[in-house]
Amino acid sequence: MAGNPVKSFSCPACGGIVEIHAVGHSISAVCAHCSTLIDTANNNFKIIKKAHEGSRHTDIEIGAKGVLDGVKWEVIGYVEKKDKSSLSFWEEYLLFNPYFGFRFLIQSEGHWNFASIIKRYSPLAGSASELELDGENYSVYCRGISIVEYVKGEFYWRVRKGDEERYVDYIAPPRMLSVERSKQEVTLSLSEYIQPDEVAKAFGVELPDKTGVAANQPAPFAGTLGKIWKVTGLSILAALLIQWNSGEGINVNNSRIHIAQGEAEKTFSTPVFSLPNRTNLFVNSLVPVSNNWMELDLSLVNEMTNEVYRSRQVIEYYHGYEGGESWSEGGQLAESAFSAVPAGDYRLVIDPSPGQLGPNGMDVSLEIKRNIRVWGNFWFIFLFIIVFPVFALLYRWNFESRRWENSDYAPAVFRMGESDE
Amino acid sequence: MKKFNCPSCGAEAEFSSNFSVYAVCKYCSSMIVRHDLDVESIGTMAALPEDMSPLQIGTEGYYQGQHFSLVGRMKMGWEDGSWNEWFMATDDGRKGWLAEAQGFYAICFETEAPPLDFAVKAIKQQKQDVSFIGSAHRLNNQKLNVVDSKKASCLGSEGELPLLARQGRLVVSVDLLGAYGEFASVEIETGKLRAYVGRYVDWKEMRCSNIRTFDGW
Repeated sequence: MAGNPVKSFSCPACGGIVEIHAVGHSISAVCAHCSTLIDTANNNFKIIKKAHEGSRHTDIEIGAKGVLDGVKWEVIGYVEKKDKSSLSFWEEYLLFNPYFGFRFLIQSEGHWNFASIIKRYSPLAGSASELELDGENYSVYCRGISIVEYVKGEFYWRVRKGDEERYVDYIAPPRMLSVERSKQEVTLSLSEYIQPDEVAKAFGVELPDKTGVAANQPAPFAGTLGKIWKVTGLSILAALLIQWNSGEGINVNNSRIHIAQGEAEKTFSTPVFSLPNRTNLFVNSLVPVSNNWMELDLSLVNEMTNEVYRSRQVIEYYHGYEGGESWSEGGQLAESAFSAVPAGDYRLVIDPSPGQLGPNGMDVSLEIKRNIRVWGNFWFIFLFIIVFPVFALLYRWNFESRRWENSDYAPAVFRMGESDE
Repeated sequence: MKKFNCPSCGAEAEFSSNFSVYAVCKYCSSMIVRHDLDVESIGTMAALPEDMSPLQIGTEGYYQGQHFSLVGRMKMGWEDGSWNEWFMATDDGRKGWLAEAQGFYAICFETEAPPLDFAVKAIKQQKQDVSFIGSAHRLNNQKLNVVDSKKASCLGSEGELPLLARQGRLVVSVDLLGAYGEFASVEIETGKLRAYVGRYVDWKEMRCSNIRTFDGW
């Protein structure tokens, strides 16, 4: 098909050529040479506001084309706005495609939004603190009055510096629903957060770094935090089950040795017992000492390799009656643990050193158990499982409080530390 | 279909929609009015102002599974711009329009007009008398609210149309919107009301073919 319908005319102020790209749509245009605002609704090109300045440079220039969301767009207009009270400012690029119509790219603090006007009648938009759209709930984030600070390019509405509009932003990250109310009409627009890299790539430009957290910036772990905690819960449950299965331990040997008077230097040994798998081994000793002590040097000897694992038990028990009160110290029981003993045949060699040996000598009872549940291991695993989810939760919390920092409508949980005025 | 010869230049032409009562000859721009038995020329239509509409006479598409083709256009202008109203021929024989404004598309079909009182309020709104904007109405069993009411005039027309779309034909045009994107338009022309109800549609959703192409797009 032949050339595009391009409307061009001489600027009524400076005579420079002004070109309209969205022919049939644009009703106001700014002369790129002298910045005069011209009415292009019909062909008499009236001056709306005269100016004598050059066009300001913007990150993306008028006429730039780029593909977003699979559709090619041409930048045809640019509006800079500021909030009347907070003095925060933002930029709106007007995008055009002859088939898909108009979109907006909005930049604030280096954060970008891709927005479309939506045709929905919503009588509560602007006054309600919550809005529902397509099954999603939007919470009010800010209310204000915007003022147009600077314009260039062409527009399908009447635009001019100083124009004021009431606006209310509602968020459901990564989306934002904005309501703009001018004297003539109410406009609803739906924005979606877009990564600056994507905008930079689409238009082949370099963009400033973003600062802070934007109103509708998607949160880290958004949508995955629930899953992370579900997996965490299941992992803890699994660890508990394994822990439970490891049980109360399996008895491998019970021995009783008798140390007769005068046998203080004798060494004793249990019969050989076998360990079918790598395991922990617990030795519980009962020595009926009374105001006396006993030391047991224990050597766990591997029958095949002669490898030795050592442990020492000191058993002492003292008691009496003094100043009208009974007292006691120590006990008759001792426990030793050997951890991670490889499978194999073993015996336990006991080398006792008694305190005093009476005429009846002394009996030592030993109970040897394997595969005993150790809670220390469980807590170690528990901490290991929980460290990332806790980090994710805290990180998310911090992110959300930064998001709401700039809002007058922060949920109560994010308002801690603020003074009530 | 009804074939005829242009009373002005003799070229062969046809009315493809039974609703059509008026056509602009594509060869000589004669405005032709269809009578029961014959056709009559009532003057010449000036060239339409150019625009970047992707639609043209002959563009085909789908709406709710129904095939349509565009057979005529009326270009409307008002204080703050212009829009296109494309007359559609549909396979199910309904009287449908595709409205195209500010890059939005809405498809609607003629329905029973609201009571005359609607027109009174709409015209008063033009004089800034009553708050007509925002008022709720029921059209074709759909709840809609007035979002916009403006004076408009016909800037020109092409193809065939179910009404006499002379240049300069004056109307009050009222747009209504529903909570889920329902759309309605009421056109008031010297006390006569016509109502159209439908909804906004996406460009992709219409799966249009035989559309205009543009360099660089």
